[in-house]
Amino acid sequence: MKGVILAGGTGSRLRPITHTGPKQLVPVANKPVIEYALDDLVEAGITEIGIVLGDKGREAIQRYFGDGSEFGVDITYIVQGEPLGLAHAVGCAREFVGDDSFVVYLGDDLMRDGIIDLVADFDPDEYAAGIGVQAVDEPSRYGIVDIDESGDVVGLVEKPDDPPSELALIGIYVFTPAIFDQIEALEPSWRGELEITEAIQGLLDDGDRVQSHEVHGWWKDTGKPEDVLHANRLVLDAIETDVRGTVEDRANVRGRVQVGEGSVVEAGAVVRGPVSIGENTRIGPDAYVGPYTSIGDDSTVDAVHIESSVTMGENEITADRTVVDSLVGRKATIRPNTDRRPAGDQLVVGRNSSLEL
Amino acid sequence: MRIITLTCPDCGTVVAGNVLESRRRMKCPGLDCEAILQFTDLPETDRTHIVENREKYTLE
Repeated sequence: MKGVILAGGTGSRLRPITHTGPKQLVPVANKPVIEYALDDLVEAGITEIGIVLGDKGREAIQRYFGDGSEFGVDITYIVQGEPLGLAHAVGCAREFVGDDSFVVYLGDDLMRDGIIDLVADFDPDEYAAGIGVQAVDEPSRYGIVDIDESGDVVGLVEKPDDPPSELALIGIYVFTPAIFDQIEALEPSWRGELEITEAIQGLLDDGDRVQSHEVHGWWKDTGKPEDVLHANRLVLDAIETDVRGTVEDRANVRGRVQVGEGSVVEAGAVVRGPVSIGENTRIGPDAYVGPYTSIGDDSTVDAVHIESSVTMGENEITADRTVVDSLVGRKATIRPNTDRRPAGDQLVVGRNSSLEL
Repeated sequence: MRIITLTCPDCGTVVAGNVLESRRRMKCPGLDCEAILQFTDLPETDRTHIVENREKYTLE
């Protein structure tokens, strides 16, 4: 079996963070969100992986993964260009996939329990496709599957007024190559995209069986800043203490804390886990780093009280302020303005930035 | 909708035909690959299909 990670899209809901990079490289607990997808595939025994790239940040993703050898996989890059829909992205992988079955994983999704069961349960001799689903509270907001008593999918409906079930599509699929003929039969939808749900419906209409696989652990789409913060919280909830850097004797550290190589938590600093601190970062003596915070690489954090936040790296955060529930982009600085005249907040804020002061 | 792709002979990167159609001639998007990919590298039937259905391969 092969794996296809979809890493296109414009990331418009994550601006301004995505003005300078793809959404799939936004870190969650100091690891790009797309790397969780790759790890899940590897954990399921899949090492031949195609990554479908859009126009946004495709060089950055290639630079991060290279040929995949450092991650124990063999990566083929597939350039989709314009985001013409999930089915178009999958269709672009046809040559890569060949005659194999393959997993399709959205590159900005996180799943707590991985995909081992989903892959193991799928029998390509019985089913043309398998789709990951999860019960949701508001099914009218999601793509919903209708299943029969054996768990086979009998229909799909997008954001139904009268949902046939509470089982929502969560963006993880297993396909046989039969899906490609269905994609070829599609026409662009009203939004100009080839819809993967229509391709799956085509399988059903032709009498192919489609398996549902209910996922019970949490899953998270990281399309918006609040989603990234929530995903960060979910991942940090499960970390173990791992100190590769230095925690000085009089630093006040409690809870589960990860400290990357070359980083130092200086005497006087207060850290309350779960917290992830990247590499080569300094947590100064007057800093408070509170629960559910990830501090990126190559940063300086001091004087600030920061919690429930994600900083992406190369940051200087030294203002005597309280920062909560915040996503701080790479190379952004939050410095003190004491002794400056005229007094007041001094900002250089790019398009789509959001400040609550 | 037919999805037409071209595989770079040097690095194996796969490029969608609509990307080639819009650029006509491009450096392979594979990192550090110096190959030049052209729309005319596609078979004539594929090129004709993309050109005749250009609106389907472009977001409005």
